[in-house]
Amino acid sequence: MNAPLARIPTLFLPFLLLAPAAFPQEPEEGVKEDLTRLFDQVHKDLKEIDRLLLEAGDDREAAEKSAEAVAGMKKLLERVQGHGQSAVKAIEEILRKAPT
Amino acid sequence: MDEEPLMNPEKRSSRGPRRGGSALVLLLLLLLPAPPAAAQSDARLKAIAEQQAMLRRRVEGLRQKMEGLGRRLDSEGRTHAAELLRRGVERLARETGPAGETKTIETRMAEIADSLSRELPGQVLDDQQRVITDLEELLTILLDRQDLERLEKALAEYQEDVANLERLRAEESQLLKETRELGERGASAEERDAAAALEELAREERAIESASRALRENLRSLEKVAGELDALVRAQERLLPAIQGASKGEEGSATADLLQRARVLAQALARARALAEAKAAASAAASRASRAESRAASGEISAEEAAREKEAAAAQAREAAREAARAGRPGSEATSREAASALEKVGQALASSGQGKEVERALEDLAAIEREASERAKAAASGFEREASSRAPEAGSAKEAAESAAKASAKAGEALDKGDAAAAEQAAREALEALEQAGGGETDPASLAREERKIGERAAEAAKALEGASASESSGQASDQARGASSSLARAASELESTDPAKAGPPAEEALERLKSAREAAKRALEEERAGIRSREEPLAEREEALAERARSLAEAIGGREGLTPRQREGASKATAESSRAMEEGARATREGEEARASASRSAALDALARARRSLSESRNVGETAPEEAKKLAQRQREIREQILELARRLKEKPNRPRPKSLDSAGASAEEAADSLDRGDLGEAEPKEEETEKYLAQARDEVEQERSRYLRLREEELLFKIGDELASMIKAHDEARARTAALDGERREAGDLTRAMKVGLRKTAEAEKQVAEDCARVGKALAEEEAKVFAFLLGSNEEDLRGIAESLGAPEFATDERVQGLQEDVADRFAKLREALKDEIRRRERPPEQGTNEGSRRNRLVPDLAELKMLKQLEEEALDRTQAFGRRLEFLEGEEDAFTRGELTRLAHRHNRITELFQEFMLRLGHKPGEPEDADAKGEEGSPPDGPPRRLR
Repeated sequence: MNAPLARIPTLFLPFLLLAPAAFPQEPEEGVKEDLTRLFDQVHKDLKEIDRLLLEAGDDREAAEKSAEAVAGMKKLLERVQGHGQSAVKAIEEILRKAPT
Repeated sequence: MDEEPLMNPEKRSSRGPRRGGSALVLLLLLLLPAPPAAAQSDARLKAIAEQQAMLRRRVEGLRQKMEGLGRRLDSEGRTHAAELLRRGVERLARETGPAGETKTIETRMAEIADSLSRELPGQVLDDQQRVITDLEELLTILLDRQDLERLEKALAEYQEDVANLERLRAEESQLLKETRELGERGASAEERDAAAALEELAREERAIESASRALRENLRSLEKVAGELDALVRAQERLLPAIQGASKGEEGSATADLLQRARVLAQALARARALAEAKAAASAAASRASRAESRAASGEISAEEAAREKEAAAAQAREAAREAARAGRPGSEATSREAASALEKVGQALASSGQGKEVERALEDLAAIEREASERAKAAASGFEREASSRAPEAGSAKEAAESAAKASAKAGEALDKGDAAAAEQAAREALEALEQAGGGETDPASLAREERKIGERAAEAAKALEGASASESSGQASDQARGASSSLARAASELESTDPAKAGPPAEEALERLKSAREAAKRALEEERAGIRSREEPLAEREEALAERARSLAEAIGGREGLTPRQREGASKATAESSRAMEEGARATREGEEARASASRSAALDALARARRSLSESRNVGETAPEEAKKLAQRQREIREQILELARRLKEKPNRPRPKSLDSAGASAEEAADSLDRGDLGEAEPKEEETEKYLAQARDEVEQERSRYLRLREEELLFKIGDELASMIKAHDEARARTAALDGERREAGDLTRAMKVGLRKTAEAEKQVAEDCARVGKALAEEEAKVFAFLLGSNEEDLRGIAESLGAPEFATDERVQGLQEDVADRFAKLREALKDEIRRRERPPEQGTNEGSRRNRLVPDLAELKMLKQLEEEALDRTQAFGRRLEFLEGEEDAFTRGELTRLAHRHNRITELFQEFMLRLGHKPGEPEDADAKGEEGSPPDGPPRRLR
């Protein structure tokens, strides 16, 4: 269980090589660009969620049990939902577009 | 590895028995569940003792059956299955157990039965457990389940073999390189002289060919322009009546109808012609390939040369396909595409197989299409002839046109009968033109203007081409006239587009006259050029004759030269003499004005000269010029051979390891190469060295293939093992969950926590802690296999399980909703993992799809897409939790507590890990994640924290 497996440093080659179902040829240029864009989109959304959750957790006023601060925290969490749904949607699109 | 296993591990879709030994395996499975005896009543003990005795008898029967079946399978040649049975029998005979108490399964079972009959159940529990373990091992052997250790050992050995074979191949390659270098250095002075003389002859022959081509180029250009001017004259003649406003009545209508039919006929004939040409081109390419094979079979040319020739034949077919596509005339593009496509198929067949049924099939298909096209064209010609005869108008030019069209179509039919599709097409075009001149065709001024402009443009191009083709007076006149026609045509087009198209007549007439003049002048220029070319080509013919003589003398000289080996003399002299004959033929063809024949002869002469040079270099013997160097190379070749034989011997010693077939061939060719080198015959040694290198590469690939198979087997086994581990963890966790819920219920009922409950909770906490440790162990293994997301899930479970264990145990003894909620989360993640593993196992059991290389793709335990799917689930789960957390905040209405904040920190921490996993995933795919723009953060509220988000802990 310890043999490290070779990595192929190409963005889409792993999909071609390792996809659960075989893909007969490399994706078209347009699809490649789409996938790159989607990966970046997911990454941005996830980072933003991290930032929002961090902000919510660090909120000192909320810690002081202020009702306004809790309302502010709820707003942050709503924004978390928005970015989360965007990330999930983009992953679904990757799964749809990636060679499967 | 061709042997059939008792159960094929690669095809196992379940772990149940399938093949020859299936009855045995079933029997064994029946034996396995024998329960350990506990304290029982006397009667029960007696029954268990009887059952135990019966099981022992079954094991004995099993052993006998395995021995008998093993012999039978061996005799049937199913050696692998027989080997499994033999190992099974050995396992039954092997003694196991603690030192000093080792026993066979049967002995142990007999003793258990004895103890039970003597009502001593307490002594048998350990022994029964041991029996179960032993029988499980036996089952593993019969199912041919590979143990990981064995697979990894085999993989390491394969890896070593691949490395050894690659090293030997590289050594052989180096040896070949040095042999060639030695050959170059070892050329005798006589050989170098002969090679230089041959090169000089080839240079001169190429120069003659080049000069001849240049001379013919002008002629070809003039021919083309003259043909074009002729076509332009006819096009203008066709349009002129319409431009002049020729009247149309009943007669015109009948002619127009016939004209339409004539167009259909012309199309049918164009199709027949295109397909006939395609068939001829395909047959020529196939014959070329076939000839190359025959020549290779008779040893006239090498296999490599034959392969090159076949490739050239395929290229020839493809070039013909391109030509067919290019030659498409307006209105017959589909026809050209059809012919091009048929030729392309022949080209593909030649390229892919180069011979055999595929090519034959492609040719047959093409012939069938061509036959069908020809029959249709014949029917169309015959139908048109009848129509033209019966519907000819009473009198006038239309009558003449219809009659001449009828005659032309009859001519087309006859030409088709003779198989001359080109003549048939020409006849149909004549019919079409006759009818067009009689008043058919376009009458719309705008369309006529477009036609006139097109003709004008073509005339201008013809004028330009004439300037470059010849400097003769006639050519100049033709060019002037064509240019003038172009101007007249432009004027005619302008008038047609004006409000009074009737004024277009005079310039159109003028254009026709000028085009006719240009055509006549171009014909004169062509005749002059033809007359002149003979005289200009004569010096070339003389040069080639002289060259032939030089080649003949050189052939004789080489044949008698002392410093060459007999094979060099024979091969080079023969090929040089052949080149001389081809040059003579080239000179003759030049004098007879047969350019294509002359060119083919020069090409043959150049081929022969190249063969002569090869004969010199390949039949060289350095035994005299560099005997020591050759002997050293021979010694190295022998060393490589020894290593090949040693490797083959080692592989032979391992009965379960396949021995690459190419290794024997590599050994044989290496020996031949060494012998040739010993004699200093490098020409003979080089091909043998090439063969040796090729066989070594093949052997390496064969072993590599086997290594890949073992890699897959190892991964499958790993997945099964992880599945087993997961099942155990799930079972233990489910039991702990059930105990927690039960104790929580009891506690609520009792209103307090009793001592017995505390003991129970401590045990449950221990059990959960054990599951946490198992998660850590399996998670580590998964992380090592790069299954990062899966490892993360187990890591999350480990973290939660440790928290659960802490809460369940002293001093907290918590069994509340929070603890049970965490337990549920853990169970959910286990379920997700189990499902994903099942999916992966199912995926691997499916055969690779056709037309893909999926077979070679399965080189990771968990594929990327499976991980991405899991990441998506994790994100969804994180969102659900965040949403649930938000809902709880509403109820708190500002009464946030430490636990709530702690939960938020946990959410943030988990989410940050998801982000990290996604980043790792992207990096693994070679995509460097960019920094987020924080557009949202810079929006309505707050400012982003300094720097990128930190890892939350």
